Amino acid sequence: MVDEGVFSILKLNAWYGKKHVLKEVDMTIRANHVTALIGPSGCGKSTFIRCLNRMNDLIPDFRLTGEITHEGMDIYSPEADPIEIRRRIGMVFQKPNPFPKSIYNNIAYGLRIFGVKDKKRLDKAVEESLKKAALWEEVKENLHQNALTLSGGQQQRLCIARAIAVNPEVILFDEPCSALDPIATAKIEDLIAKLKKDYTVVIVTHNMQQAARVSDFTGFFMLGDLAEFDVTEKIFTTPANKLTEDYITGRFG
Amino acid sequence: MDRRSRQRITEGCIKGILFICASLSILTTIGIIGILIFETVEFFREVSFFEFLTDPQWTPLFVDKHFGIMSLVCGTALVAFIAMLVAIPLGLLSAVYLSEYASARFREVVKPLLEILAGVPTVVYGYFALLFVTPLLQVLIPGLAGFNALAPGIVMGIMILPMVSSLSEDAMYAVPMDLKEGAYALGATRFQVAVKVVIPAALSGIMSSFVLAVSRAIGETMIVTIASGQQPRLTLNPLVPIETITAYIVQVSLGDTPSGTLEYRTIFAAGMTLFVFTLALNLMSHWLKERFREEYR
Repeated sequence: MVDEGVFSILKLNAWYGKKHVLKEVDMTIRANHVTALIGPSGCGKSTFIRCLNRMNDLIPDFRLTGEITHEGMDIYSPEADPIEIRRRIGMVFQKPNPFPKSIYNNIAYGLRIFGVKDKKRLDKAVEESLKKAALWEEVKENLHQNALTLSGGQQQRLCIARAIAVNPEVILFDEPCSALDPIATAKIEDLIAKLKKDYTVVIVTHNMQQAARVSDFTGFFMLGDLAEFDVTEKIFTTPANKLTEDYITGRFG
Repeated sequence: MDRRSRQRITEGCIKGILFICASLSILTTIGIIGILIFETVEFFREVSFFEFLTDPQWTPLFVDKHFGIMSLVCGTALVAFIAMLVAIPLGLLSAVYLSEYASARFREVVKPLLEILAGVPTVVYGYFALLFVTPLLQVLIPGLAGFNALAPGIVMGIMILPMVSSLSEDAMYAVPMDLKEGAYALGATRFQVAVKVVIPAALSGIMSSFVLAVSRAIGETMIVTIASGQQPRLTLNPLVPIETITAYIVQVSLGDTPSGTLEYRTIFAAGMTLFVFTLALNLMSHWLKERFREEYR
């Protein structure tokens, strides 16, 4: 079905201490598409997405074998720089986590740590990122207000804008809507659908309807195995694996 | 008597005993403050408040008496300032290291070890300053007096270092992981996360650790009594003998000054000054904590 992808993952195994959490996972993730990862709690989908930008490096006792290549480069090879990888592969988390700074400084943060000091460039990046994250109209008057005064949904869009500001190629979403109400969720989903024009998107979600609504490809994880991976429509209409069918029809999970 | 009424009496007694215990400490505090205020008022009947604040000399035990507290305040501030110059950078850097770089196991071992520094008796620090640090510094700085502000300041800095590092580290460690992850996910290095995310988010705890450390430095007695000399002097020169408020109080308390005299009352005026400073600092630390408490979530 897919031959060339931005990410190709080969025989990925991962452990937390002695716990084997990902088993022989192979996957190809295509550029400028949305790939959703679903599965019951503890199935390894969050661990998987955090392998894609080496966020798991921060966890003591985490270990991994296999290969993840991004644009042809093995991101776990000794030459790969996790700092550079995380700049190119951004991430939005489950709980909105804006810094306790102003809206402006939240977005400028990423650029400043790469040494951008030019005020005009920062202003422009802040405006563009907020526009792309569909937050500009709501906050353009109060850019210097503390980000924590925003609502949960606005905070999450701010986090998306913050990720966009450093101009990544991929944006990873780890259950971005699980702390949000339905209206805020709908806004984020709209946004994700728009973002795939410019970015490759990978999203972990608990919500199967969400996966069906926003994604082009869906992977179903079960106890650390990638049980099935296919075009989203196929997964939700004619899954090949009995487990997938049981899960999406709500027989467990 | 039935069981229930016996129980009621026992409960009443326990409540009474606990109340007495609690009031004892409060009454003691009130008593101390009361005596301080009483003797200070007596002192100011004989010495004007203006002289107390503006006279450059403090010589209550000499024939030519002067009552200018500023030379003692100056000595106290000088030693505390030197101590903070040592404790703040070292304490903050070790806190950053322990909370952001060190492995969990290393942190578990090193943090209590660092805290032991705070448990060394201050008299040991005093002799350490006088008999080890001062001679060492005299090699580097010719003209350094045998008693001076520099050596006790440095040693005091080492003594309060664990206070700064331990409290700051607690504050930094409490910064939620998801906040740090947000920065890491943008491609920040560990150092950038520490300086631009963790320290700002933990600022209230860090600031209040500084303030507590300053108030500890101001109230510290033994090190300065032993190693800084007993010469009240209105100077900011760290190389000559000075006297702090605490050291002066020790000097008079140990001497043969008869009670009820003006000389005797000077220690209450000095003590009151000290009390006002440390109270102000403690209030400030409390205010800082409240002020920045909800910095993150």
